[in-house]
Amino acid sequence: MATASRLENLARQLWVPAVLWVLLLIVYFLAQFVLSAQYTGIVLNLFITTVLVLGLQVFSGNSGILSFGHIAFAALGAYLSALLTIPVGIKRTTFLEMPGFLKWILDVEMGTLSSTLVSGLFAAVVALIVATPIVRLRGVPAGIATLALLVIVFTFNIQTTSITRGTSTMIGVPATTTISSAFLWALVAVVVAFAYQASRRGMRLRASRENEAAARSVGVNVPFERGVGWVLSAFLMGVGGALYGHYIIAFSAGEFYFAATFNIVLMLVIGGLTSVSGAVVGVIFITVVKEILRNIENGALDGRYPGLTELVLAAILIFVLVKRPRGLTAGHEIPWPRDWAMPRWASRRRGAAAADNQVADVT
Amino acid sequence: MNLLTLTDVWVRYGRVPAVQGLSMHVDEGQLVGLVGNNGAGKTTTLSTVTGVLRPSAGTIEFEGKEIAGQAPDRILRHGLSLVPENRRIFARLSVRENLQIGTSGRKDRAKAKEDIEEMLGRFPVLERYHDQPGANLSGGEQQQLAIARALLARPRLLLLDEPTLGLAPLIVDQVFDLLEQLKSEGVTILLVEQNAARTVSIADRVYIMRTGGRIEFEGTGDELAARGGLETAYIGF
Amino acid sequence: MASRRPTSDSESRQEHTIQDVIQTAVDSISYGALYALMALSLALLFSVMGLMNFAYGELIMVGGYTMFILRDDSWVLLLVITIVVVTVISVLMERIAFRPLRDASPNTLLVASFAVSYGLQQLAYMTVGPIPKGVSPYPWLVESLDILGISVSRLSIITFVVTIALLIAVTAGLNRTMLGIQLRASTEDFDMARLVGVRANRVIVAAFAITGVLAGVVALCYVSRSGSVSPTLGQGPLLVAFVGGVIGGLGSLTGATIGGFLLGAAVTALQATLPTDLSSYTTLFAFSAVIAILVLRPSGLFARRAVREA
Repeated sequence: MATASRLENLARQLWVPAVLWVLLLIVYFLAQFVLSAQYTGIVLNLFITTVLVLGLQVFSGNSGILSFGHIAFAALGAYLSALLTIPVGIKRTTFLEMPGFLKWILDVEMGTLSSTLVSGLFAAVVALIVATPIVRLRGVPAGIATLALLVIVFTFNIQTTSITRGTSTMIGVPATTTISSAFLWALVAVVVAFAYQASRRGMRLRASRENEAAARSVGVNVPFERGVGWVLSAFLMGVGGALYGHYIIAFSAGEFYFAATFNIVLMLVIGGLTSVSGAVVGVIFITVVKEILRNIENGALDGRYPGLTELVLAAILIFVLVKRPRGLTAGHEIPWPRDWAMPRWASRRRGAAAADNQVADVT
Repeated sequence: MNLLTLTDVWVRYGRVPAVQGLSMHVDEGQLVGLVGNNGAGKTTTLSTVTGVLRPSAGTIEFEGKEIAGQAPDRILRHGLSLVPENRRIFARLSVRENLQIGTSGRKDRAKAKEDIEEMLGRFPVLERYHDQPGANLSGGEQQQLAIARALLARPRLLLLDEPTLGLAPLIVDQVFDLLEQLKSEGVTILLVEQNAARTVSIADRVYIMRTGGRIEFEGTGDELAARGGLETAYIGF
Repeated sequence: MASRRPTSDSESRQEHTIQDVIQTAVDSISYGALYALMALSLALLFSVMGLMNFAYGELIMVGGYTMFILRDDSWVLLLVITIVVVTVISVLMERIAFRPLRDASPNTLLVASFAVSYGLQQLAYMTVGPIPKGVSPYPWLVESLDILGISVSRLSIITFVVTIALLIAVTAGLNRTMLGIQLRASTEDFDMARLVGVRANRVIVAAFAITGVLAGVVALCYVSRSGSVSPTLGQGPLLVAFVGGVIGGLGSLTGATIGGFLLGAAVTALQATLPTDLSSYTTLFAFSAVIAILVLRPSGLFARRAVREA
């Protein structure tokens, strides 16, 4: 009996990552064996985006601070991994003005796996350096500070043409991201995000999200906990950026700016900011809706209304937000089967949600 | 005649019931006290009556009309005006503007203007600081402002949520004097207080509430005394 | 303020420089005031309903396209219809997208405003296409005006006069009218405002209508100057006004307006005086400064700390 309940506890703990793994696995199998080849790129992109959105979720989901700066870390990851892996011959002829302190990089030619890891670490280190001001902020000012970070990194990338080629695209980046490698990284990201959320550290950060003053009063060092989430999430963003770079190969600074930021923020909020499940659900939901709309636009409508996909997508997003202001999962994890009878996120009607808001007013 | 009647009202925060099957009523012209410990559900009750919270079950009738679940600004227009906990005056608005906004629910603009002047005459402190931001007032002055603001809606029923909380004893006396004065002018009042003894002394009827919004005692001060007074009621029989 | 080193000893060049300095100064002040109007609008919506409205830039874009469509009509018609169209779109935005989200968290509202912004941009791509359209201003507007022997563009003067007049009008409206007092009360404590009888829908629609009118005027001035419209027209000015507003303090109407003015003026001056390259690296330093200000004064440089009861 005791063993059985211990087994159930273990199963409960592994339930969410397992379900998310299965979900991603289904997508992977569909792409490999069912869908036509034209969808390979879309699914590959889905896996990379999963890594990026989970990266964002690790910080924003647990801290409650929506970051608009995370794409900056993806940019850093993409550029560094590119610079580490472009064949030496091409690098020497392309980056003629590489500044002295980076000259060594011209003679380096790494494998993709190691360069991806190095890029993630690099993003994490940069995040650590800029963490001090960011983690002290909350609410809207925090969001603006992260937006400022995005603008700063973008401006640097655009201006520093000797390293990044600015508005010109990179040349010679090896196309090493395959659907399988992106899939595996997505699985890793799920585990990392979930492990962090379930960990003591993650729990402290989530406590500060719910009530910062209360968290402080029980001894949680809120800026420090935010910093931990911030650095860990930057690592995932760096990895995701590197994967992205090795997928589209010819990228420029503009690839990592507002459009990309809005994309991942939308996916996370639509899915449900505060849960790992929400991140994955958001990515899959928006990708699928977008593809269906695109098929209609180019198929049935024969491409007569370019831009229709995006317009309808915007309308759907607003509709989803109106119906489920806290996202498709309402910010909860996928519930354990036995709790399905009354899953909180399914039974939550608008009235109940409104009552939740009002608790804050009264207490 | 019953002005306000609550019948079997339930209020929940998510799944947690804060008020469970509350029934109570306020008669026209009376001062009714609602006392009880912290967390008994007094503020929740007022929030529900004023439309900030929505009851999950039960009816709230005002002058025989169902008002449960209506928006706060609509409920105010029926004639219920709230002096909220912690006063919540508008700190950046001037004293006069705080009073002006109290007339938001009224249609008789000209009369409302007169009433504002009259209110300034009634509260000399407010007159003196009429062009100062509300933030500059002391706690007791802010309480007067909050009561004046609520009165300017010309309510049929004035609801007060712990109006003496955090005030100096002398100021507490002033607030109770003011309440008695309002009562003598025929204003119907529902007073939520932790200062139970003072409340019982001026109230026509009192309700004693325990956790979960359960009514432990209902009746006049004399009846309460007959049953052993406040202490017994609080401890429970 | 925006000084430029004389590049030559020649007298005429010197005069030319003085001329430039004054034109730049006038430009900075008038466009600073334009950004102040935008920052005020953002602050109004933010403090009344917690909405950081990123779709505000698209109102300017809509105004720009209205001007493009009406470019051959009389200017009175163009003025009136542009302002009306932008105001109507602003109110519709509230009705369709934001009213159903009244009780949602600021994050959700923000993302909804992204979606609205994105949708309006796509609508522009679909209907008028991605290529910028020229809206050549009336020749009368670009003519220079001689003031004390110094010629200044008429458009800058008009922008200045109109925006200052509007700022005064909005301020007066907020301070003198019942609706204004209700709006200001709602920016402080929306729930309490409802408890004293302020109608939520009325103040929020009023906020969207007022900010819509302001956006219409901003569109008229801004597009007359830039001379072209594109689907992403509104993003640049929005970002400046937004950051300026945050620096000044979005929770305070005055603070945000001052912040928008200062940042807008600084950006206009920098664009005019610095070489392109440097001006871009300036962005980098400007945004680093933004982070520093936020850390030191999270509620903004010019926002009085809201004094709350103990």
